[in-house]
Amino acid sequence: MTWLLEPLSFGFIRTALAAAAIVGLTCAMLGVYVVLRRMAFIGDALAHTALPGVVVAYLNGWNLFGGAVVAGILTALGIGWFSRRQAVREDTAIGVLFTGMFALGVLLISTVRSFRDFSHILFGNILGVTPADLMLLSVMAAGILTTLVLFHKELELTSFDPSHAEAIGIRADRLRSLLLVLLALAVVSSIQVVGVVLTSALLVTPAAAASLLTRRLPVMMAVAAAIAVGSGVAGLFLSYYLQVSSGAAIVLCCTACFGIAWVWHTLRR
Amino acid sequence: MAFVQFFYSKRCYAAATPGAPAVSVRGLSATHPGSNAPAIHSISLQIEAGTRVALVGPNGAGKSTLLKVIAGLLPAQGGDVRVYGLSIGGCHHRTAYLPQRGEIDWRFPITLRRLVLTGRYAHLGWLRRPGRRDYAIADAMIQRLGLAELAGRQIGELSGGQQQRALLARALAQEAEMLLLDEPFNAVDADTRDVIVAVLANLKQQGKTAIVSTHDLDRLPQDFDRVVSLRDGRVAADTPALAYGGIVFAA
Repeated sequence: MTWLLEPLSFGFIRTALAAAAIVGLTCAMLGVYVVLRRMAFIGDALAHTALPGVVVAYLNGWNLFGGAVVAGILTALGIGWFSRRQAVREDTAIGVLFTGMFALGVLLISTVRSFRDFSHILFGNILGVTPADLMLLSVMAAGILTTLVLFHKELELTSFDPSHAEAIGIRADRLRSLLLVLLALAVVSSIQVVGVVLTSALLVTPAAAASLLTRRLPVMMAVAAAIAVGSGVAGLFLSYYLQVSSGAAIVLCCTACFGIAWVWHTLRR
Repeated sequence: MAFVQFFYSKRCYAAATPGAPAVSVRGLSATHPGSNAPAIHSISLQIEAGTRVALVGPNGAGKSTLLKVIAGLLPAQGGDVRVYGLSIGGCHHRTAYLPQRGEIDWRFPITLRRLVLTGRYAHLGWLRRPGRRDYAIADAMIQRLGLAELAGRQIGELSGGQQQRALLARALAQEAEMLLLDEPFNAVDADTRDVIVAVLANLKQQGKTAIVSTHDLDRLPQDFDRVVSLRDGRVAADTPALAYGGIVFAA
């Protein structure tokens, strides 16, 4: 038992555990829509485009979170706008936009002397989460989850049958934009935990594993959430005892769950 | 039931103009997004309530486009469309549209029962969850189309005919005045075909309207009241269904 309790005696570890659980829960629930609507690429892109926002905020001494939120939401709306005019295919537009924004972020970083601060942005720094950050993460998670619950029936319908949705007067493109904004918020909150580079793993991997285990949407969300929260906690303990990067450990725990789910799914058929 | 409701469309519960035809189309043109050539050109058509209309014509003649414009899924680019005397969007709950099966993601994790339940959403609007009455209506329609044992199945596990019947059950659950069916007979079994035809006959008795695009020309005189042939986006012929056989042979 002591091996379990010892890390908990540190305040910053308790904060980190809470952050991992909250972020995992939010990303996994939203991630189910990301996986079912085949938006995994967009999730990854949103994480990368947040980088210049964070850097600009850092250089000006603003709140890093705020910078990431603004960049993420702008990108989310920009993608929606791009996909409406069909001059360029959507995945192409995203590919151009996200690499360009990421390069801009890296360029801005290289103008600053100390690169060390930014390695936290790239790979996460969950042990550096302050109680104030945790508060902010909780508020964002509550907002995202409440929105998901309130608009569940419309999000579900537009995901599998946009024609019927449009025919009864639901604007499917607006719900998509809503989902993109929620995605931007979730991505920004998970940057603290696993960093820009690994954020899409929290969105996609638990949901993908859950989609192999069940064919019921609410169950899928619950399973994805359990996998993400469990991986967050397990990953932190692993990183504490093995002295390895916490973000990478969390992501690899999710990946291991996906591997188990895949084996189970394959054996069952 | 006294809660404030937030309908998907502001004009959702506007009253129909008394005595207005189910559909009145004048000089309608429409274009598919991403294409320059109009898919239908200056179509004029009036369909009285209680009529079963078959839309026939080769692929690309504009059948689906016309249905989508009437359903409010595509904007009209010229001309005027009235549904029960109201402009499009004025009566979303009165019009049920059955998309072609390919437009739905059948792998999505949702059961047949919940699919049929989405037919009630037009009456619920934002934020409200389906109530006991909505479930009762959905279950009654599932029963009526012979799908009761399949209600708990994920929609991708159904056969093509069962999927088509599920979509029809949803349209009935919406309790719409007018049904727009896009190729419902496409690749379905004979039983499903008979079920759909029987439902259309029953709707007619209730004074409801159906517009059905189809390639299946064999039984038009028995199953429909009127046949509208489209060709290259224009109305090529518009006849009572009983006279249709003659036109086929003449053409």
